[in-house]
Amino acid sequence: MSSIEAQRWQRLSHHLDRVLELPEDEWAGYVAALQRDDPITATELDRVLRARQDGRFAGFLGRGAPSPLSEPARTPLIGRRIGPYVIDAEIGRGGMGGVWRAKRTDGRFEGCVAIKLLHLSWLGQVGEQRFLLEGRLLARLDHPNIARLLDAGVLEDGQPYLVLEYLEGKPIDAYCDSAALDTEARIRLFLEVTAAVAQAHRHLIVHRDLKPSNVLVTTEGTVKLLDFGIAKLVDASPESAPTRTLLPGLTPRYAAPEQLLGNSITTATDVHALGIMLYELLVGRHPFVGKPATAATDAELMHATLSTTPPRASIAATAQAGRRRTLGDLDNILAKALEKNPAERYDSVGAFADDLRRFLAHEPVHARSFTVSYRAARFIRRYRGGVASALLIAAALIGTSVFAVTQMLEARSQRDHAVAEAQRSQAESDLTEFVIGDSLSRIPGDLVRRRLDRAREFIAQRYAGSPVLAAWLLVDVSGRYIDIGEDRAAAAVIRDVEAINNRVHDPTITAQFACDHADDLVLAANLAGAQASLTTGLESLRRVNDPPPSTVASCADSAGLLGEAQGDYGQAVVREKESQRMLVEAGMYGASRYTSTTNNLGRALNLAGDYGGGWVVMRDVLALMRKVGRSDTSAYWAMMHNACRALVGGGQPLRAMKLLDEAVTSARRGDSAFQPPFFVAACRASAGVLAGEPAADAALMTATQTAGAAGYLASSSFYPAMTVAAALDRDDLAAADSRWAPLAAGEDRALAAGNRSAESVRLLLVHARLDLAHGRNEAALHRLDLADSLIAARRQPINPDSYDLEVLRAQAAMQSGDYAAAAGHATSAVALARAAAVDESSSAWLGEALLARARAEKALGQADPAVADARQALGHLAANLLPTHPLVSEARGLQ
Amino acid sequence: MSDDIPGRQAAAEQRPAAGDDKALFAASYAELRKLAERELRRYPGMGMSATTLVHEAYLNLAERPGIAFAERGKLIGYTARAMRGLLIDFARRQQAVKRGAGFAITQLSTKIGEEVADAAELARISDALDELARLDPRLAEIVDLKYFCGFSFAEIARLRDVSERTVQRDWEKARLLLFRDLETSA
Repeated sequence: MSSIEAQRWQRLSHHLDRVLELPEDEWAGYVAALQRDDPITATELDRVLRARQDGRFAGFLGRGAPSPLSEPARTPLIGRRIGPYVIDAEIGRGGMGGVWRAKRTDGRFEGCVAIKLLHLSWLGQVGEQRFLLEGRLLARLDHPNIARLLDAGVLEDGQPYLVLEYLEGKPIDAYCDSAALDTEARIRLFLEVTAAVAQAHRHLIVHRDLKPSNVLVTTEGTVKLLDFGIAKLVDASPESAPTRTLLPGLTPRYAAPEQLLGNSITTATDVHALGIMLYELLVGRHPFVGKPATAATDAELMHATLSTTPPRASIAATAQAGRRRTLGDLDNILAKALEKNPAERYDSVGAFADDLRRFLAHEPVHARSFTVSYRAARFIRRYRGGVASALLIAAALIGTSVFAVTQMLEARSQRDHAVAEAQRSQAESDLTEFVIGDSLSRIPGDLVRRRLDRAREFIAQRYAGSPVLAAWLLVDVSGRYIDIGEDRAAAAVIRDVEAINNRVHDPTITAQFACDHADDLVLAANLAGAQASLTTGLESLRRVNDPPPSTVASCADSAGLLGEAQGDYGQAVVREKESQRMLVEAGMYGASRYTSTTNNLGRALNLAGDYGGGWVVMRDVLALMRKVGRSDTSAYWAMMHNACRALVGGGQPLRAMKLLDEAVTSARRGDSAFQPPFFVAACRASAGVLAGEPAADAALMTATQTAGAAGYLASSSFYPAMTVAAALDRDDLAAADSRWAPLAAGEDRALAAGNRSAESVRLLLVHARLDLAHGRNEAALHRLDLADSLIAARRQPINPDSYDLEVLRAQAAMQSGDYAAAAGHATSAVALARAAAVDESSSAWLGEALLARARAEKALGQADPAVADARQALGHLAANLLPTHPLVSEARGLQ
Repeated sequence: MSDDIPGRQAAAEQRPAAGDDKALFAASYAELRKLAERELRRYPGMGMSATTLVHEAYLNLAERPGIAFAERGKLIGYTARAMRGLLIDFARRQQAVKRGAGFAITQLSTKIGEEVADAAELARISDALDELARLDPRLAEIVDLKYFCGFSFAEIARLRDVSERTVQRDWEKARLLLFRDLETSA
């Protein structure tokens, strides 16, 4: 193509793009205007656009090319075999493919299954492997209100299929109408839907396509959700990109704004879809379009979803007159679920359900119509506390690994920080006396609201001359508004605070905002940015003579998180301790900011190898969580996980198993379908593996795969490495090799990059163990030396990895016949295990190290010390491992 | 089936000169034809949709050891263009059968035969599309995907990671340009 032609084309193309953005009646004007500047292009443009006036243009290329391969109306699949099933009837056809009923052919059971044959185009670039893997993971989603996915596979000819629980029933909207349910009964039924969605969210599975036709009420009256996670299964977007957009074939009728805009999809997306569904069930029409949704075009639905606020009076108008006041609450609940901005919706499906339950019980609900700036919204979230998203919790406990998770960016603003605080100066007591007293919780909400309104006026009048003091008092007031669910008022107050600070630049307020921001950046893996923001905050704070302890605590917590992210665990411990102490000083013991800081401290202690300290901290904070009634939160389970890691690392796997088993049993008393989140399952399984529980290996594989599929293992190989060790424990070399294979690349990458993190060390150590099992002593020793140098470079007082290193060195020395060296390494291991133990008098790892020394002593012919060590070892091992564990019998044999 | 099918030849010659691209396109065509014939053999009179065919061919090709990862992005475009050639070839053969020209294609049902448009008309669209591809390959590819392969706007948007609205606007643009070209050349 000549360059002149290219230039002409560029101009034509450019103007064509612009003109197509305009309504058709403005085209002529556009061409006329262009005629003056660029007559040649204008003439060409005019010729192109004239096609529109040709009667044949409307249908041009409209029907698709006629094809001798044209799609059949239906494929005669009846009688076709799919795995052990034979198709016997067609159930329906949807956007993703046909659904068929099938029976088992091997006579193993009588019942039917539903088989969904996905259209091949759904496979897109996903690939068969991921389809199969995710299918298997979804198959584990077990809840009485979720239709089970029994199997997923790909037929020989490439046809992907799903085998699902076969259900007979009606879509929830049709059921409600045919049973003529009243408003309350509809809400009760809807609460079953929320329970199922909440369960899936605990496992980090987002539905993304919730709509009445996916919610069946069976002939027995049970709610069953269909197609959970299937939207994800067939979505082609890679893990690294934020989960994306509306899937082809899905109706915009139930889509959330972020789906239409192509923004990240989170659990809040499901909250929105549930809001639409409930609105339709209660009001009988779509919340956003003014006519029946079936009569609206996709474009109308999309436009309305992005720009329309649902009419609020609608429910009151259609319901009985006497209940109008509380029905206003229902409007508020729906409005909060249907917020355009995901961050302003309910934090979780559970919070949505809680408000509905409160509505049914005629209690005040938390939802208030609420539109605020992002800044105010995130400030409030920081001070609100409550349940963090599962994503965030997973982040909070796996430490640095979360930085690989892109979705974290979404979750970070939901961070589990803190109930209102901010005790400020002597004026505080004035104010407290004036409005609140210490019996806030016993005063009815509307009275508190009135008192707080008065407090705002009081502050404005009395402290007009001291804006900084007024600002801090207002922060306090905003926190109290949040306590009673008056988020809109709280946001207005925070805006006042911001406005004041823009005038006075108070260093403490500035510090508070900067340290908050540093937290956000740490979670977004922008460590340099976090460091800068933290420095700003700390410098700002340094200009204050007597900085308020709660702000010091915020900044110390931010510094601790940053230290942890940088691998400086000692620093993290110091800063989190400081933060904890400051919170106590600020009178915030027991507040959720206190528990969250304490959790950070426990995790830092674990990472620093001080499992004894970590266990005590976690044990106490768990008790505190139960005491303040927060044992059903995801934060509680994150803490449970960290407690488990402390016990396992500190030599007491049996006790860790018991801790988690009891916690799960206790949770099931409240909700019989309760499943612990996968990270808790993973720690439970790792404890089982180490204690010698036969079933634990499979459980560990399951939990590890779940974590992997959820994207949490991208840069943390703790549990995958554990699966290799588990195979070696069983002397299953083949399994160990195959489990190691996918980790090998990570080891190469880490070493090539000069990465000295705990991650590199962990991979080297497990690889060395694999080498030893194969008898490759040289290779093992080389890896151990390398690991040693990496550990030394970290200069940590205690290093949890050093213990493994010394035990493996002892094993290598034994294998090469150097018993004296083996005894030396075992002695080092004894000292290290003692330092890391939760309880020096009872630690499996102390027992293991003593046993290693006993072996070496026996080989050296030192019978008495060998027997003495073995006896001591037996005490440690028998108390902390299952009696069938090989180490226990070996120790017994050496007596 | 004879190898000297004009549509295929023509299609193969339309490829950019680079040897690898040419090979990739030829491979796409061969794969599509193999699959299409297999389907026609297996389910006479029914076949499968062009969309499915393109996807399946794409998946098979992407798995091949010789195909570099970087080429995969181009692959779906090539496969779509190959599909266009294949459809024109089928249409031509169909007309040949009607005229009794002696191609033994027993698998094609008479019903399908009735639906087949004028091969010459398709070929004209194809020529205009090649002209457009010279100026703006992405615009032309939308027509291949939408018109010849039956992809929906949403699917195309997903393939390209752009909004559906963008795809729709480009489709409208391509239709306008093609219509003008066909009018001019007629």
